[in-house]
Amino acid sequence: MNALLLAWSQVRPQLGQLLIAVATIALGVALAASMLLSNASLRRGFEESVDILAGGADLQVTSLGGGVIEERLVEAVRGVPGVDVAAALLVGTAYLEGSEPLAVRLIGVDMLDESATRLYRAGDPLAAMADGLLFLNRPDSVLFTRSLARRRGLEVGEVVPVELPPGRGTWTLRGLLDDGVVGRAFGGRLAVMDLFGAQQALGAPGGASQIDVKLDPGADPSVVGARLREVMPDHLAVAFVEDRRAKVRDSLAAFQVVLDLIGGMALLLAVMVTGNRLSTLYQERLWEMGVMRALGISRLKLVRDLLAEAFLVSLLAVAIGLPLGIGFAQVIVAPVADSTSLNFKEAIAASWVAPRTLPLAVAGAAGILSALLAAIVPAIVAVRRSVVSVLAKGRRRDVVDEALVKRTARWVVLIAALGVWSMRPFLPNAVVAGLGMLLIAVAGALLLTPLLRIVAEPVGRLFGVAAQIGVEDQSRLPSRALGAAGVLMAGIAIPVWLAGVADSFEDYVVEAVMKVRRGDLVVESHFELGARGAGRPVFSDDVIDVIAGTAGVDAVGAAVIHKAVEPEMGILALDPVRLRRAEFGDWGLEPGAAPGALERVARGEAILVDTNLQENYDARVGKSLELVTPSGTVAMPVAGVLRTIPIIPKGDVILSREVYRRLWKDDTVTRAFVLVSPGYSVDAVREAVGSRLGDRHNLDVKTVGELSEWFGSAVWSAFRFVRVFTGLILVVVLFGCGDALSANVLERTRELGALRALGMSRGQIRRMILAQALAIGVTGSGLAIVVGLAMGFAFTEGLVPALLGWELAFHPSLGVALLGAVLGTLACILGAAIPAERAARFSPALALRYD
Amino acid sequence: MSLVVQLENVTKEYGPGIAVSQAIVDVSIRVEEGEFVSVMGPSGCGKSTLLNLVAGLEFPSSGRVLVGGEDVARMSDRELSDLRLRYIGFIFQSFNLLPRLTVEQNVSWRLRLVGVTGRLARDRTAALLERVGVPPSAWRRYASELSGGEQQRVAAARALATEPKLLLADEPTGNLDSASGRKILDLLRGMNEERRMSVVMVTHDTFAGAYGHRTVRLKDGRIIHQAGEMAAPPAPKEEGQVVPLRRRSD
Repeated sequence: MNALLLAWSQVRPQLGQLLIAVATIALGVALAASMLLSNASLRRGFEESVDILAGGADLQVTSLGGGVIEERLVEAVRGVPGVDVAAALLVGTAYLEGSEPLAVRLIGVDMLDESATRLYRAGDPLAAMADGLLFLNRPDSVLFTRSLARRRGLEVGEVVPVELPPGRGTWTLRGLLDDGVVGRAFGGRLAVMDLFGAQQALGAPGGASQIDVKLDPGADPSVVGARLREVMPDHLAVAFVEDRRAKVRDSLAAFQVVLDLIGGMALLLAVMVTGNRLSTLYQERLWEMGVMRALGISRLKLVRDLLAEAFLVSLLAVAIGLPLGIGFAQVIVAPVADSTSLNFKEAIAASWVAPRTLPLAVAGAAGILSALLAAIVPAIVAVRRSVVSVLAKGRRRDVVDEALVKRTARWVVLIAALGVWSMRPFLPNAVVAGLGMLLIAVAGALLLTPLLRIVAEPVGRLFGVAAQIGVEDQSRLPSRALGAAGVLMAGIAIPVWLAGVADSFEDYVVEAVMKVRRGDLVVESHFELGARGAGRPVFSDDVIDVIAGTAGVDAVGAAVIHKAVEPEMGILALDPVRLRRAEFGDWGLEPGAAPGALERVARGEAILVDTNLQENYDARVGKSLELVTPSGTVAMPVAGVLRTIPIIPKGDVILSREVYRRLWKDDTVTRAFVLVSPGYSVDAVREAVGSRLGDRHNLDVKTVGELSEWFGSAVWSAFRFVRVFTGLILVVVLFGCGDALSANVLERTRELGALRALGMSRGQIRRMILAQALAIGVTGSGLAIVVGLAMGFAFTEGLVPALLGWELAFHPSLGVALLGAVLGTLACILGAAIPAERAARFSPALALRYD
Repeated sequence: MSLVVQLENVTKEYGPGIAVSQAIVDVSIRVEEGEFVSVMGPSGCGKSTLLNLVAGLEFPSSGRVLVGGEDVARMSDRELSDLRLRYIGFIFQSFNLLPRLTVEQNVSWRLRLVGVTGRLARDRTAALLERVGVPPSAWRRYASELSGGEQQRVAAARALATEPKLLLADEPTGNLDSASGRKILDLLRGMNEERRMSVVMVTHDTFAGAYGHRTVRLKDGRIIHQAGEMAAPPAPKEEGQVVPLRRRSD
């Protein structure tokens, strides 16, 4: 306690400086906490959603090929010994219309089956309605979560316009579900219907997505599972719910690694900001420590006091930073949730981010530990040196050895370049890529000093003689400047890196996806993928006939996208015309394709696979691939391989829609491409198709160019959180740079006084500090570009393929890199405005007395 | 005689209200061209404040400080900076060199500020360093690597770089051993004689004080004694003529 009191007495006189330190550290901690919290919150939300769908079930019966199974199978399941409760569940997506369209998860459950509702922990849903009988009698009856109803401004009894696979329709809101466990699932975007109503709504009469099974107490799940497999058709899977949870967690893990990596960078920033700020304070106190030792304070006590002080300061900063981080998390979570939604084609909760112990503890510990580290270094220096040398040295600092700087720069560049280059053949590999990224970050940090030295001269020249003196001086004692430049480098490198990744995705999507999606027009649902919800909306097959019958339409090629569960793969089913007519796409199969591959696929005799699927399932040309469909397992020969962006990371199968319709018993359409007949205007045909389609479906008719742009924008919207994150980083940079320069000015008060006494004007002093900020900005931003792009490369060509299974080519986002550099430099200069003004306003006489 | 500095009934007070303290009280001093004035007195007598007032680093609470015939209190910051850059050279007790600049750079930066660059600046810097006795082997070293005596010589070269008319020296030997101190004093005296540069040196050391043609003794902010005569006859000029300021535009 005495140590703390003494520490407080040390802190009090420097309160102003310390408040800046506290604010800066708090911002760093907040940044890290916000990212970690958002991540944890989304992870939890995802798991909760899975839990809700699984309810209290032990086993789950689903279709191996994805899609619906027959509801009547529930009776067979119930007859299996050891089964206590079995309930059919139909899950789908509906789109609420309105000025802000919204995707909601629709769950159909048999409301008359009391045991089923118990299974899903929903209590008695009929109790949530004014009239249970009416609910069951009217298939358009629906229950919304309270939060969803509130969000849409809906009251019980209101009619809700909705878009569903069979077309547009209406629901009647009959009651509200409490925002408890069920209500929280899918971020509250949940609608519950009676199973029959849901089947009508989703166009799946007699269908169910899964049958959930709760076992008798004491029943052995593996024994009952085996019995169930015996009675169920081959194309159905019987899985342990816990396994499914684990699988979801696994599939999330890779993306979470990416988000955690970003959180880790935020944490690193926090550590750098904290370390930089406090080491500034404590370096200044070396001389005082020498005096204290001369006056009889023991080494141990000195170290203890300094650590106690650092602990106090960082504790205060953490106390401010963590609530601030919770606030930031509310801003970040929506865009991060959108990104996750896009990646997993699932509605992810982006609701209020509750404070969670672990992320807050990690961010807080990072703040406190980096503060202690920042204190321990000068403390050790002070206690290891002789009292006489510390006192003689006063507040002077060692000058950086220029020869050493040059030597270091040469070696660092050489080793980093060689290191990264030599790792190239080993990509994609998560460990190698991770090591590469670490090496790049370390090389960047080591290059700060030499680069600061290099930029000093040209930057100084821009601002005149006085500025030249300032930047030369700074480059030889770069400790303060390095902190700011380091924060800037790390801060700007993150968006540059992520923007490069986003650009790579965009280029890949536009190149790889659009080359097989050509034509003049595209007809698809008005509702967008990802950002607003779960899965691509589909529409019924009869729309194709309407389009084909429009004057000026030469050909229509429809496609449907489907996800098969076991084995996991994406299914892209195309009308044969899409494969036969080159105007619909350039299939550009990889070398080694079977002769007439496309025609064979069009005829339904073979399939194409993408490179990811070929890799993951060893599906080579000439071999057969087993497809598990609702009609049973079918082996189809692989006729060719193509490089495209897969629907799911494991890879895709491309087959004829005729085959898909027959085997999967699904005639819905995701998107239809249209060729316009020669002599017809594309715009006129677009209008004609639109008017013929009418408003039965909420469909858009757009040009293929617009679709390409949409793909690009969808990728960027997945990285939308980067913008928010960048904004927060710029605030940290602004504080970090301003703080470092404030410390620099304070440290050099006496020198500045001498410069004024020897003839430097206020304006020259001001320009000098601003030039220093510019030098820091140029150094930090310049390295940020190099480091960000290099990390982007390692990430895109190393980590992404290793973790997500997508083989991307890195395309640097130079525009974002330059913008980031400019914004970072501006933040630095802006941060320097106050210290510059302060330095200019120093009374030279007072400054000369400063010691 | 040409007048370089003139203090007319100057009083300098610090602090507000009843806590006010007087550092300088009703001081009047005239410094002629080519004159070497030693200002002596115990610690806290107002010596450094006097120099700060002359350099325009502080302003009098009452009275006038004229440098080169102009009232420093009426000058803008730019004019004051110009005055300190071109008309005045300043030597400090603790040298105040920029420790991260080399010896050459510490001298040449003031030359660069007045527009002397390139070879001319290098030549002039070399000449100044040779004049003050800093060996060429030290020119590319950092100021922080030099001994106290060497640092003060570099500081002198820096002060002389812009060929000022007035050299202000605040305890220039205070941090030096006696041998180094004597060299610095010889240097100041040499500059004073060679260039007819006026020197106002603050010191509490009687040995150093003896280098001045004239000694002004201060106590508690007041002049208690002035002694000595001009040692070197001034150049033939009209009585009372001032050495005018050279403006930045010159």
